[in-house]
Amino acid sequence: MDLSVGTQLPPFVRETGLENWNRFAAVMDEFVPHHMDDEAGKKSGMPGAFGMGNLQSSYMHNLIRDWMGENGRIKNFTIQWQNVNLKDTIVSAKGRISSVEEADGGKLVSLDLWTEDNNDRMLATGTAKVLLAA
Amino acid sequence: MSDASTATSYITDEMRAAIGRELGTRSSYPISASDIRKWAIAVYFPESPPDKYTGAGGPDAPLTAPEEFNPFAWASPGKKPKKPDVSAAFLENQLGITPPATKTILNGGTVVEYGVPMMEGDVITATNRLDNYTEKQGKRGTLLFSSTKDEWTNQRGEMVKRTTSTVIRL
Repeated sequence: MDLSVGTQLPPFVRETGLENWNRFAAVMDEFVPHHMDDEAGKKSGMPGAFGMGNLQSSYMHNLIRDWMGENGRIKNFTIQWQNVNLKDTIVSAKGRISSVEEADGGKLVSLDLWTEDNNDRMLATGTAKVLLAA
Repeated sequence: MSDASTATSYITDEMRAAIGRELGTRSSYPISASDIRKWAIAVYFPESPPDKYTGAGGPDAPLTAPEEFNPFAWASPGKKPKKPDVSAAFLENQLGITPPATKTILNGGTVVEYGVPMMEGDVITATNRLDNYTEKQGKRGTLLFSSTKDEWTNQRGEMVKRTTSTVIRL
């Protein structure tokens, strides 16, 4: 695994829409009209229904998990939401190594994270620290 | 332009005195393998989640939950389902104190520290506290930052995660 500062993680990419959001609503009990109905989304000032902020958080976690494998542990994670996930857009969760330190039990890797859609809209930004076992 | 020395403050003595107060404690039902599988299927949809979240490829060992799994969705023992308070005064309503005269609420982000992983069979207890009130001056006037800290432990008392959530009100 290349742990050079600046290395990008393989992106986690999903087409997003009601099929994703309804499943997430079902496990979160998050049946909010603007996540399910275009008219409700329009009443919230959006072009239509839009996705849950917490699903962006899960996509960032998926990105980290797919990259770190079984030898890694997420020690901490931050997220700030920038824009909503609009229906029928492709969302990519991306990350880049910002620093690497020696730590008890391995290397502590700091990551810059973000999700963006296929219209170059930044949806969320974040950071994480991951302990990779020696 | 706002002048910090003359700007309006939303933080009252009553609000300041409430910093550190508990907002609520709740315990989860035991986490089931089905809860973990359904969560993983939802967040990896339409592709299949890793086998470790479904048990599809391994022996009958307890499943490990994805880090961001929520064991409190739908129901908690002793808690009746109720409509969440999404008003700008939700924090002070919980504390039973006078809310600030803000009209708009924005999500200011989340900071999470992870401890031991959640496993199938675990019972998670969460204690949520008012962490702090702070203010900054913005283009639209005073911005009130309110943070809460939610600490989760498992049935062995091990720290599972600490989440600091911030809302911005104006």
